Amino acid sequence: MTERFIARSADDDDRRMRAVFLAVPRRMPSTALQARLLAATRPAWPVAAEARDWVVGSELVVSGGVVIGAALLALVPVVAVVAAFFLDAGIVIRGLTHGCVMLVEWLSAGVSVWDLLARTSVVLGSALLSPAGTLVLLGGVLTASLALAGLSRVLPRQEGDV
Amino acid sequence: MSADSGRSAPAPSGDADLVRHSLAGSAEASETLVRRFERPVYNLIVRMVRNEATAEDLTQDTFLKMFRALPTYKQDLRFSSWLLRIAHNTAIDHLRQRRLLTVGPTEDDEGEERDPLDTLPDLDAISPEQSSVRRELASAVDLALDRLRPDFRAVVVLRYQEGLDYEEIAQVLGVPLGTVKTFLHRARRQLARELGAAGWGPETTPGTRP
Repeated sequence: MTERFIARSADDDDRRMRAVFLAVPRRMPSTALQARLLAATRPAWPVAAEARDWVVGSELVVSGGVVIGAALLALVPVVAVVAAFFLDAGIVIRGLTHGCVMLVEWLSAGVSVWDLLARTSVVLGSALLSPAGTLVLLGGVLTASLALAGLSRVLPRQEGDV
Repeated sequence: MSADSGRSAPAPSGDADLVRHSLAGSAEASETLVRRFERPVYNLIVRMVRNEATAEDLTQDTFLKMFRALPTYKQDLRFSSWLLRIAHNTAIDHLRQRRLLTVGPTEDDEGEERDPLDTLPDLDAISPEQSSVRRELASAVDLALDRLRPDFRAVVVLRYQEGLDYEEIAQVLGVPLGTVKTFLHRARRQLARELGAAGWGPETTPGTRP
């Protein structure tokens, strides 16, 4: 108690307050917090280089597959037309010309646009039901599935980055 | 510093190793980092935001930020100080968003006849066996601490519960050393005044405590 009557320094104040805080325990978190922290932070933990390479590699494969599949689906008709043009330009030009002429004649003869659309739909439907059409449809479904799988791998990581 | 170390004990040498192993992909090291620093991080945050559920959310945010920033950690700062800085900034951001970063009551030392620090209880007069008195004192300090400004609370917790020195506190808070000393000085005085008003004077003994 004599220390009260001598000149004190900041160090004395510091020591006295430290002594007071010896009686004050830390605030403790709930027992569930640790498990929650481990589960929530686990996706953000650094990964080993080999694992990281594998993840990056697999994502590249998935992304590449999606891009190539989509490109094929979009480019196949164009490639077919272009190839046909180089093989026999006359066939392509005649086909396009006949198609345009038929369209104009139909429209001039009073065929309704809805009728044309209905006929086109029927043709497309039957094409899809053919073996080749089914193959194209399956390709589309496969490409979409790959895209979804790729997104499901990427999206949680982006959420953790917020 | 670790959750289980003494208040002013030096940091265990394992922190730097843990960080290195965590960065190398060791899940065990990452898990140990979480387990080791969960309590000091939570303690600092809950003292600042004064809400347990919010403090747990912010503790989680702190660890997520820590792991994302771990590759940028430089060892010129102790890992515990670096992590507590993230925790402090997270708590400050929360208080700013909620507009809770208000300036609490500050004392004006001028014109004060008696040094409030004279009213601090003399812990030497309370034997270790008198644990009930210590519990009462802890409760009184808790209440007094809650009445401090958030930045004062942070500096007091870092100094007296986490055992950081002035330099480290300045690094954690991102303020000059002089500001830390000023904050501590004012915080101590306000705490002492609050404790004195609560009946914890220098003559406090088990028999005289109201």
